[in-house]
Amino acid sequence: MARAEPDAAARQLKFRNPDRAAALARALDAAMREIGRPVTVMHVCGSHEQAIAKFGLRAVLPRSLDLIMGPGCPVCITDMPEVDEAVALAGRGALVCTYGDMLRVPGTHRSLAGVQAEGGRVRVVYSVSQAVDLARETAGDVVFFATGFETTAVATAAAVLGGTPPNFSILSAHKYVPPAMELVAALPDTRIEGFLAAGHAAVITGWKLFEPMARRHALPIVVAGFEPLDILAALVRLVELIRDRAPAVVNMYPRCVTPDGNRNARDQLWRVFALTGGHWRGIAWVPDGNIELRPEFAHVNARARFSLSGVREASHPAVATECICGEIMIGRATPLDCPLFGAACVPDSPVGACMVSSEGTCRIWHQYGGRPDFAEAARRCRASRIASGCATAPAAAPCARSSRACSPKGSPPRRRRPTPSASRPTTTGRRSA
Amino acid sequence: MHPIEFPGGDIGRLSVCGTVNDLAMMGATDVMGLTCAVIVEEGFARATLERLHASMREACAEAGATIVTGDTKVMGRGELDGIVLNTTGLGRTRHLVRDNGLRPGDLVIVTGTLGDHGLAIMARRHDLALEGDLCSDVAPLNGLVRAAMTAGGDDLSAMKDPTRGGLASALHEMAEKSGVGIAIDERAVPVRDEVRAAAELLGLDPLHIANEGKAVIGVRPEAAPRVLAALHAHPLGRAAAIIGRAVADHVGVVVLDTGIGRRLVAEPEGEPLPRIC
Repeated sequence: MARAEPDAAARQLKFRNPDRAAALARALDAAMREIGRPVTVMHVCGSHEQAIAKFGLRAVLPRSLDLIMGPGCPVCITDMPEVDEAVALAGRGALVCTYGDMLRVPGTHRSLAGVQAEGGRVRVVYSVSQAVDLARETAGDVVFFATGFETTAVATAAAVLGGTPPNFSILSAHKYVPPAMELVAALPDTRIEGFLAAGHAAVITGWKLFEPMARRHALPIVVAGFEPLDILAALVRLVELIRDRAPAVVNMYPRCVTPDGNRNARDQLWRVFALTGGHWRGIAWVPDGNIELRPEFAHVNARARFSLSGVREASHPAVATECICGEIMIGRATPLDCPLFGAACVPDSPVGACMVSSEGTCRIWHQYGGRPDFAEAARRCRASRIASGCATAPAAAPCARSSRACSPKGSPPRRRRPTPSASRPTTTGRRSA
Repeated sequence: MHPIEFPGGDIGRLSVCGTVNDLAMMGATDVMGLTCAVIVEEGFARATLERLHASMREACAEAGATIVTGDTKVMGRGELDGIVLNTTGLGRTRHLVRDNGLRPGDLVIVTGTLGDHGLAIMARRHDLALEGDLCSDVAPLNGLVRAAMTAGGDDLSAMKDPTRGGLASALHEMAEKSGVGIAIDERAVPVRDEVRAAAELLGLDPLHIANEGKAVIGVRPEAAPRVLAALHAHPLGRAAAIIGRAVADHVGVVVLDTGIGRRLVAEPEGEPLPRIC
């Protein structure tokens, strides 16, 4: 059953060619017509969702094909106690370095951006090595708040093995994707008929890793790259496998992914880290879902070096009761099903984690429109303008409000309440600072 | 403003260009005078202050503008972060242009490549070791706008500079205030290769990134060729391009044709940050 030989179509991809994209969309349409019923598939990667949204791919998918994002945003599933630990360290005087999109993730009382505003030391870095360099330049404690899946965990492991200064430590919130895919596939009421697997993670793990899962759940899994044509070609293959009832693993990213992956990277990863169970925000306890430093690396483990147990105990992981992030991340709901989406929950005052990260489903739907229905977007925009007193604002009497008050994803007026964005002054004349 | 000096400019140049461009975007390309308040932190390096002064003088010369009044204050150490420059200005025009005059059918022009300023600043601010020539576009636009207005006359329907929030914010505001939708062809939007590559690497959208030397101009379709030709003839407008048009559908909404699919363009929220993986 495992047919992971490089597909000829994958080799010919020119990545962003509109003609090829149109041909793939037609192939997808034909395969869906042969199936003759609605199909739901899941991808599990924020970078996939970024590419799908950025290139507007949902606009060319057959309406009967539902492509949803699973628990693939490492920022979204970083648990609140983990954020609280980072916030506590920054509050105690350590320099906390982290990736940019962790800054606004809400903790129990405040985010890293919040503690930074109160004088805590937080620094956005683009890589772990940047954090190590910062530690070499300073005498104080530098903690790298390490988030992300096995893709970024490998970089963290390499930095640890490469040697770090004594004032450097790691607060690991790294997660491991395959157990979460298992969890979604095993849900009794799952609608998922196939997975797109994340190409960059598969570069490290190899595609063979997915074979037992495909067998166990009788679901096809297609490894996909991140260019728009990579994704379309992988979707065509996935739908064909569903049509043929073939629960195979197919590698549609052969220019990067091999059967066994990058052994060297994996060796380094598992020398430094081990799997452990952990809670994923909004989802559940995921057995083997967390990546934690091994005991022999306690000297770089922030949890071993600083007393953080009280912080975890004081955390309140419950997000707002109306937030349905968890349902969205396991594919049982879309952002449009959430009463908070676009009204009480917007990017500059997020309720749920999916709205915080640039990789979160809600944030991406808010930014790019998710399922594109432009007439509906305009109707909502007009409704929210009327609700906010702007009426239809003819050109001769311009609306005095910023267009931010008129988000294309604004909720119907009944849900709307004054939000920070709705009360913000006009942006006219604002300058870069 | 951090950093106060960056590739392609500094806070001095930015302070002059910011006000000159605010005036120019309303058609007031003839700058009658600028004011400038300078507030410096005690201990601020004299050499840096002199560089900023020279830079302001140079920007004024390019804009044909003069700082006619101002004030200087020194505040105690720690009471502000380095230096604050605050400019205002007075300009005049016979043809007032606003950002609310788009009509369905009008074409949308940008006067050059997008994202240069914001990425240059971000690369410096976050110490991103990016190779390539990322350089701010900060420049006074009154000369360029004068050329466009001379060519387009009353057929110039709307104007806005895509500063913070980038093209996405500017188009949103123009669409909403004008009561039209806007449809953009992504392939027509000029973005330098270095900027596109850096933005992709950092997970940022060039449409969300700030510019300090570009204008978005709405123009009646019949005038578009001569406005575009006038822009191309100006040193700051060589990469000018028609990127889309105003439409009667989806009022207040900006839709982007990516060549592969279509999507909404939303406004960015807060400062764009480099994202994980």
